[in-house]
Amino acid sequence: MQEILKGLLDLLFPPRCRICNKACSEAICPECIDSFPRVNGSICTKCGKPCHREVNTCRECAGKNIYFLLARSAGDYSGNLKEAIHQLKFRNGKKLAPYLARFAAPHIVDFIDGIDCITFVPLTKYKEAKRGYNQSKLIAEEISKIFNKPICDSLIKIKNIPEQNKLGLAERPKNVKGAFGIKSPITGNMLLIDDVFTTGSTVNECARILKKNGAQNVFVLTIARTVPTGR
Amino acid sequence: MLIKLDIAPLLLTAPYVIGILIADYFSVGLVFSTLFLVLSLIACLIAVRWQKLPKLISLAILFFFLGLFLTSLSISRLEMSLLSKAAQQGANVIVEGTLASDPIDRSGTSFFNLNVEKVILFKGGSRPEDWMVKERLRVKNASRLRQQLCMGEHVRVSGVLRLPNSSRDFNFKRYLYHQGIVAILIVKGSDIKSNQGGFSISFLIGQIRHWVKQTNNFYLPKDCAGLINGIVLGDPSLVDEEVQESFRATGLTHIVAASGVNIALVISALWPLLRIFRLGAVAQFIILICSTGLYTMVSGMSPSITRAFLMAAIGLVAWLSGRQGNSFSSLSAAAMILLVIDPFIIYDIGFQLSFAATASIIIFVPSLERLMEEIPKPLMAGLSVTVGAQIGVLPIIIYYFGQLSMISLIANLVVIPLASIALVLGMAALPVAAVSSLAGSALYLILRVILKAIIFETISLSAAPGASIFFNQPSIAIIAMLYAAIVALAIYFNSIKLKLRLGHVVIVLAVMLALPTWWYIVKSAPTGRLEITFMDVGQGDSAIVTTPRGERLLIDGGPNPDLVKQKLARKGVRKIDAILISHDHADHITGIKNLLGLFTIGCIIYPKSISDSKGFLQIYRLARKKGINLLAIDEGDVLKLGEQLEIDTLFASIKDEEGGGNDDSLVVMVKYGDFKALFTGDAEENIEKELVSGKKDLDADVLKVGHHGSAISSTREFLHEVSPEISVISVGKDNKYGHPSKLTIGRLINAGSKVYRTDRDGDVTISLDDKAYRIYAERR
Repeated sequence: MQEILKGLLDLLFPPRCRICNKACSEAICPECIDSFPRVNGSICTKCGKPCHREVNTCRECAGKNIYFLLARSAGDYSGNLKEAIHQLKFRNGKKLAPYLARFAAPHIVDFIDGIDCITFVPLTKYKEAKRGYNQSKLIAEEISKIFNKPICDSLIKIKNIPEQNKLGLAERPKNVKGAFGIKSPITGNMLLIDDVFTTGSTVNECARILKKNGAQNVFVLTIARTVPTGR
Repeated sequence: MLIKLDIAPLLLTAPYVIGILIADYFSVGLVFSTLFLVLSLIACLIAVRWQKLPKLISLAILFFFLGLFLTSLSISRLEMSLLSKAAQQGANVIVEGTLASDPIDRSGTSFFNLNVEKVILFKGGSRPEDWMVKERLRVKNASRLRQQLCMGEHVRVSGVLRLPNSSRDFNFKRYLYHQGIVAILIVKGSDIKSNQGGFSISFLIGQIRHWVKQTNNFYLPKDCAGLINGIVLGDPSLVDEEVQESFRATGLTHIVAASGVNIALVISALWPLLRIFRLGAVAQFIILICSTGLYTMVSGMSPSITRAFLMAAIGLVAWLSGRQGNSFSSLSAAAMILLVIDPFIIYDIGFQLSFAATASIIIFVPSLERLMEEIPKPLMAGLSVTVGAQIGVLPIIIYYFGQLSMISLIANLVVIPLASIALVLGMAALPVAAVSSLAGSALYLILRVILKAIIFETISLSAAPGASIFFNQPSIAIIAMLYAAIVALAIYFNSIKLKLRLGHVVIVLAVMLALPTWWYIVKSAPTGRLEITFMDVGQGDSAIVTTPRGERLLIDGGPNPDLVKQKLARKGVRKIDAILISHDHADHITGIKNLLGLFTIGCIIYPKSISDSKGFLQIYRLARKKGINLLAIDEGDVLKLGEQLEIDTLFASIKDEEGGGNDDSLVVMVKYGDFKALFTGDAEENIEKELVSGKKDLDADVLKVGHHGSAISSTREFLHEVSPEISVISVGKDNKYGHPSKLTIGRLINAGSKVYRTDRDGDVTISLDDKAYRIYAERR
């Protein structure tokens, strides 16, 4: 029965690669995944930013209170990866979540064994109703499947704030302050999932709340990171 | 390739449609089509199993045979149906069922379609039989319905079953057949009993419809209420006839046919609301589908709204399942679904228009928008959609209506924004009025202004000179060629790199406005010959005389409200110098009323003794309103039209009589130089005797034979006096009076006359100059 239903849907909405629009049984074709700009080589071991040589604290991390233990990003927020995340967030591209999760998974194998629970950055209820899903949650679910770790929906967005990406870099930490709250009790080491890491304000604020409410350590995984233009 | 079309669904829908057409045209039959379907299924399975055939191709072949099979199935179901058999015998029945449509009143009679659930059949003598069926019936009532019936109501009706009969110019039987109806139930108003037995979805929907209409009628004057009912409920039959007519002339009928706009409005009003309530995606999906579905049902499930609903539903499925919708495949899928439910819907004009318009919008709008990038945004958006839709429906409109609106572009640009506001307000005002009548009346006040503006604009636009061009009905081959040209145009548009400016658009619009004027000048230029055309208007009379200098005299208007209008419009007539009414019978005057709006009329001439029948009074009042001269004439009056055309009134009425009968008919001799034509109206032997004994000069070249060739007209004595060279009988095919009589035709031939008859020969034109005359018959 499900086969027939899927066949009908395939007929009605012929499956195509969401990026290059070629006929393809996958939501993104392997070529397009290969074309994603990856974060390889030396990084800042704190925030995961690509650096000329491996450092423990980069210039960005230096003067800030950083609540998470470490952050990793899988790719550079540009090119096809940017398009894929855009589709995921704004163009009803929830089918892309598993591919992006698989793309990001290798970057956390070093520390995944120490993680007790996976959580994600929440959306406001209105936004989630409008979009029909929360893209970070979808990715978190996939990651949880891959590594067989439990997922806990522990954060909640309590304040409706202007979109981070519509603000200048300097305003972001202030904007996000107090926007999140806690929904369920937490303990142990947590992995926090988000889509894009720009200044890290959002994940940092989430990490702060998590730690304040009982998390031992917070690890962060984002699919992509932008290289701040202001450097 | 700029247009990204997913052809897979089209590849299935197209063969399916061809299957339907072939099954219907060649009457393939159920046995053969089942056989074909099974064989092709086996063949395709084998072929795909051995990988000899791509899956899609084999599916396409299967769908062709599926179309063949499903159509044959519906045909055989209709032909085997109980009602069809009962109608062949003209049986007396009582039926029970629900109304499939609101009753429509037209010229004194009313009708509706009934979904029949139970039939009680009376056969001569024996006990009545009960049958449970699921069939559809047209119920026709000879007078206006006294009770208020509405769609979805459960009724019990008794009457006589009949088979539909067709006139030549309209295949009524086929028309009903394609709606799944094979029989007509003739009833008297008192034989319809509403029996409300419990609650059902269709009853609820009927009630909602009823409530909408009641509310609108309460707050608005009649013409506005009709229009907003049409806009909100998407049912053109609710709109005033005059407004409907002006919509047709300006190509705006689509605003009273519910479609994508209405569904889009429901969704865009509801969706944010659902988000505010923070419902999950599945809940949102279900609520949206249900509400649009309810709206679709309330608006009467016309093909256009059902198409819009299906496409919206498909779009929502794509949203929910995280797939990418493609409008062209949604459209094909929507067509497929409708055609599986009812293959005959392919013949529905609404279905054809809706799908052609949508397909054409999908194909043309992107390239049109590219073309018009430099034009101000609002104008560009309006133009590209209007032009895009128009291109696709043009051939269909020409084919069915023979009328092409030249100002429709401008009309659409002006009226659509207003109509959209009216739609939003109309839909918002209903719930508001239900809650608070004060707020309701405030909204309705604004709505009223907008509706008045729409009516005013369309009526004045439709009255603009050369609002539309009229054509003869083109053949299917020409339509096919037009569509080929449209495809070529689509490909061409895709490749050109032209940027239109505002100036170009203004020029194009101006040319479109000027075109009809030239068209009429060319078509209606005086030929330099005297022409008399006896028009084939069915069972009735209508003839037009055109002088060499272009003056026109119309004698009678036939039984159909629009036929004469259309015929004259196609000839390029803009102005009629005089209309002569011979007497007030419906088969002579019905066509005249609608002429008054479209043409410039010099004067209307009628016999002094004419009775105040309803039909005549309507014409009289309208003519007065429009400031057309009215001229009552009596026996002995001589009128002159132009320099040479002379109308001699030989007879006006038999004195000392009640009036109202055929004996009131005018008899006039139309003279042009030496040429004489005698028009006798419905004169019978009484008048003929009077004329012969009155020693009038009856000698004529052409005789319009009295009373459609009735046996009691055209007596031997009378014909002896007239001695016509040509006689024309204006008569409809298979009329119930048995006109024309063989005896009359015999007498005419004996009198040495050539006999023409409009039922066989079509329009008969006699054209003459100084030396000779020629006769053109449409079908001889």
